[in-house]
Amino acid sequence: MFGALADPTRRHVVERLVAGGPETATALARDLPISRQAVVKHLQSLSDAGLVDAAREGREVKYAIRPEPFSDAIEWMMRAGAQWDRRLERLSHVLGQKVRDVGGTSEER
Amino acid sequence: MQIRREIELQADLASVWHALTDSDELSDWLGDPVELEMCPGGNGTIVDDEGMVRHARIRDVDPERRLSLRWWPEDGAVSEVTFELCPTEGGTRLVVTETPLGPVSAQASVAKAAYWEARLDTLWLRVSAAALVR
Repeated sequence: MFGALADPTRRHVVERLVAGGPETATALARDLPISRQAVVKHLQSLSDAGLVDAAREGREVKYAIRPEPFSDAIEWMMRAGAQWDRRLERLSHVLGQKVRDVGGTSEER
Repeated sequence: MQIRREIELQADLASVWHALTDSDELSDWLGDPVELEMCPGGNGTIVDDEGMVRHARIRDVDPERRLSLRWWPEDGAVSEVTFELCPTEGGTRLVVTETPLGPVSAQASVAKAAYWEARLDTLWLRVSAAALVR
């Protein structure tokens, strides 16, 4: 399934869709040294892997990232980030305490 | 994918370095308890405030400049953690980064773990990070 992302063109397409939101195959092909048909094929692989959704808008088909497969990474980042915020707050507090203990002053933060 | 935090501490380099390398002081803020052999290759364990036990191994110790270690929960992925210190006018700037070295699974569900066990490279993880900041 994740063979879908082993290809650099597909990773580029995913990156574009994440950064710029839903796009048509035509718009994506403008940035790439390959034909629109080749881009459609890559999008099809990404769609088969559950990473991308296709939605028809009038005469156009727009492709968008499905966020679910990314959510583990995002959840990890949020959790690890919050843990570091707490740890560093404690570190700052501990060091501030120490400065005061030895008679130093600590400025208002 | 990387977590990065920067903080200005009102303490000199030596005090901050001590807080980063002394097990007793580490137990005041990093976790409780923290036991670490503070030399390259040194092992240790850290129990964090959520009760999670991590095993750790020290990578580099560059006094008052840089400390790096790898840690991993009992059944989780390995991350590399680095601390970098820099003296400032009012004290010390500390930059912390944590970088997972493999796929992360937020929940240890079998399905999700299997999903992430597939080969994901750094770019793909970077993409996830970009999705987070949108």
